[in-house]
Amino acid sequence: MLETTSHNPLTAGLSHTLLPEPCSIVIFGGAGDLSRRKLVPALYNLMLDGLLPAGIAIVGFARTDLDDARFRQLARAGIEKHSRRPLEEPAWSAFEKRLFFVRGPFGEASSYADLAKRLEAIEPGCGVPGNRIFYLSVPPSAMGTCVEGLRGAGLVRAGAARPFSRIIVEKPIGRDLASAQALNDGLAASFREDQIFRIDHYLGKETVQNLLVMRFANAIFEPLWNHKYVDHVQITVAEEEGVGTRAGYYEEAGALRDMVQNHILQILCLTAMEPPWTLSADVVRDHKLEVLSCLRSISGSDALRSVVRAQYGSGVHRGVEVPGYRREPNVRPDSVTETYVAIEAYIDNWRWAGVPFFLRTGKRMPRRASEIAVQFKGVPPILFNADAASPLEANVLALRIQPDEGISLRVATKLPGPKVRIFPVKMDFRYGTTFGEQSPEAYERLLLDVMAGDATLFMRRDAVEASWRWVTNILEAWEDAATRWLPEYSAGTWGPLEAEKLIQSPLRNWRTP
Amino acid sequence: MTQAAQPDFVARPVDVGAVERELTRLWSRPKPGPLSEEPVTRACMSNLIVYCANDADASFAQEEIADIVQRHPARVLLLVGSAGEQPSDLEAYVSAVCFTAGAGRQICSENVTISAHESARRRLPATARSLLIGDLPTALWWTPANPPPSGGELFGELAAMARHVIYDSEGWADPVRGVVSLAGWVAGAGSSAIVSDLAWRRLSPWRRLIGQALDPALEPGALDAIDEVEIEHGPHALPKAWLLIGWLAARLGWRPVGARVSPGDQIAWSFDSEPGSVRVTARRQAQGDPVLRRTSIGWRGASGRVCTTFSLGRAGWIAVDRPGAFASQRILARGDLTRAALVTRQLPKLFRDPVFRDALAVSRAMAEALVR
Repeated sequence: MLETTSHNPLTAGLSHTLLPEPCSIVIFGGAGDLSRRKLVPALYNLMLDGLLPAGIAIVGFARTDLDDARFRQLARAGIEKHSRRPLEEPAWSAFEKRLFFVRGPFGEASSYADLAKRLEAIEPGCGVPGNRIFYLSVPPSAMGTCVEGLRGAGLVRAGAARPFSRIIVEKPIGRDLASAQALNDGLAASFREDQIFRIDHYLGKETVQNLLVMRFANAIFEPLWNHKYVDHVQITVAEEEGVGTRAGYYEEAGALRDMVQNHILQILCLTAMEPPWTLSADVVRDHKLEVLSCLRSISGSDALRSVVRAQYGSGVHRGVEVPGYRREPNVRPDSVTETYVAIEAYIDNWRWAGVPFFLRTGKRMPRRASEIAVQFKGVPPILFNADAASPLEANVLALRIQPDEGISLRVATKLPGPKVRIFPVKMDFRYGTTFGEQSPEAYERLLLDVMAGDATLFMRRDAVEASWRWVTNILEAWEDAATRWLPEYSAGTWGPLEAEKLIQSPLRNWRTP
Repeated sequence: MTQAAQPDFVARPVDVGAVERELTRLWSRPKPGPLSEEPVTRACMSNLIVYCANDADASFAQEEIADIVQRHPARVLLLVGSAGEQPSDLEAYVSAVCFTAGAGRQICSENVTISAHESARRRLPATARSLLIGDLPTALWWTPANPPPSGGELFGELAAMARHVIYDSEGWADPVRGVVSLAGWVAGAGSSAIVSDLAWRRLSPWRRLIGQALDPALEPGALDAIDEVEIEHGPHALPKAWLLIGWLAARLGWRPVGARVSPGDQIAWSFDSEPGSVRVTARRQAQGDPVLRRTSIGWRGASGRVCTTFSLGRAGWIAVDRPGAFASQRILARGDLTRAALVTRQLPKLFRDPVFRDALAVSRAMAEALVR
């Protein structure tokens, strides 16, 4: 998205003008799932595209009993299984030379001393001038320990000093406002804000990035993008899977923390923000923060009116009977963790006054789908829309984030024939069928951005805390509620009846994404 | 994601005046073959005018078009400038090229071939003009192995209706005159014209790797101290070597001051630069593919003479060799450099490439230094 200024005139005009700097990437939890499925394949694909800097070392760091050779085997298997492009021997042979492993428990100072020693030994041979990126693919409870360990071993360089130290942290950043603040304080004790990259992989997706392009590179949308013409906005992040093997985490989190606090609110910000005057990281993030600051607080009894939470019961998924949430492995039989949440939210600023934003996410829905749908107001009740009993369907602009990334616009047309009969048709644009090109994985883009020091697509502390502030009000209202009863929806459906009631009006319904 | 593209309909000869009607009919009749049950999407990102000088070239281009429209669906107008046995002076054929794109969808592009007898060639531009779809960008892919301006009025008329002109300087028989005439046309084509040379695209991995290996972070001061460049290339790859030199010179501020053709297929240029002079040699190998084989860049470093060599290895990988330094481990895939793949990647790029224009301008100065 952004071009960085370079002192290297030979890189001008090359397709990717972000300039990643030579660095070591230390993956905490390097033997784990995220590393094997996403991070290592992403780095491999960046190398195939010639986008990795010439000087690079990738160091797995975990307590798992591995050495360099076994880490490389693990990485190779991960690439073979999960890379968007197949493993090629010449490329792999060059790539594997950059893979290293350091073993050690995160809670022991000696692990970090070993890590520091190994980095010192590896880096000169890999052309790395000491720049380091620490990717914390660890549970939030371990983050503080890791940061302290890094600092204790002298692995953190202050602020803008060169060589640089940067840290990437995965969601969840806390489980409420207080814990997020504590976690951020812990990070801030060792790293300056511009060294911290809080990753939300949704922001690396093409369609999410395309939101700003669509809004601000097309003259026809922005004039309509306000309360005068928009009836409401729906943001849906639907998951097909149940809780699976994540019950331990999910029981403590629930849908509101797992999806709304980060992905959905980030998408909301990009949908509703004012035009930034430049694409520089802080300006874009300032504008996103403004949206969060204008989100009307939902607390107390409002939370019971404007928010629906529910839990999936048994049902049918792709023709197979599946158990309800409470019967999933490692879930308490009396669990009140929500697997679905729907919210009617308002942004109290001039642009969006009175426009409801319906936010919805859930597990075990009929299919995996994420989209933003902007429904415009209806035409006046004259001419073609004179029949109050069957009003014309409104125009809807839908931006699909996954799967089948693309954009569609619902418009009214005349059915062929002598009579004037109106029929809604969908104008459909799909990335996959229009461009044919494979989109890079979100992690490829995001890792490249960290290497280049571009934080535009990462969450800043103030935004994380603003979103937690909003979400924590809802959580507290739920805590205070007299009843802990949760509505249930059948697995394989789009949610509970209560959610239908939340949105329902003659011209408003949940969309089938 | 996709299956191989296939012509879904046998190309049908139609009256030139009835092409548009036949295209409409194409979408309203049942589709033959194994894909007949799948819904069909007619997709079109661009108008693509492909000009071929004769039937043999057109036949080859048809195969490339099938690959191109898989990733860049387009209305393709294949114009054949000198068809052999012609029953009439202009002849048109209409077909669709379809492929399945997952979820049971067929994506189809329209393909119109218009063959002209020599005497009717001048009518090709007007015929093509009437078949362009409005509101879509139009690209002209000029396939003959000679500089587009040599196509004279025909090229001028086709280029005038296109926003984007694509050609390939690889294989030009007379690169010196070709570069001069092409650079002159580009300079006069106006600031909004988008001009792309596929040979320039083939240089991307070389440029990327050279840029990375000589990055000031890795090789402080190298870019300011280069005093020698040597390029070895295969037959018909001189324009590419030329462009690479033009690019280095344009980016690093070198000015050509002299050139000399030596026996043994070698051309040497001398450039003036801020710190001193730069000697550049392009050497042609007697046999092989029309590719760059090796590029060596030398400079005087703090601790003596330094030379980094970039060479094309097996399986299309470019490797960097910098004796005594880490960079020797670096390699980069050239990727798919077939014409079809390059055209496909070029078509969506609807913006001018000032780096290419700068390189071309220096190339022109290099050519002029040679004929001076």
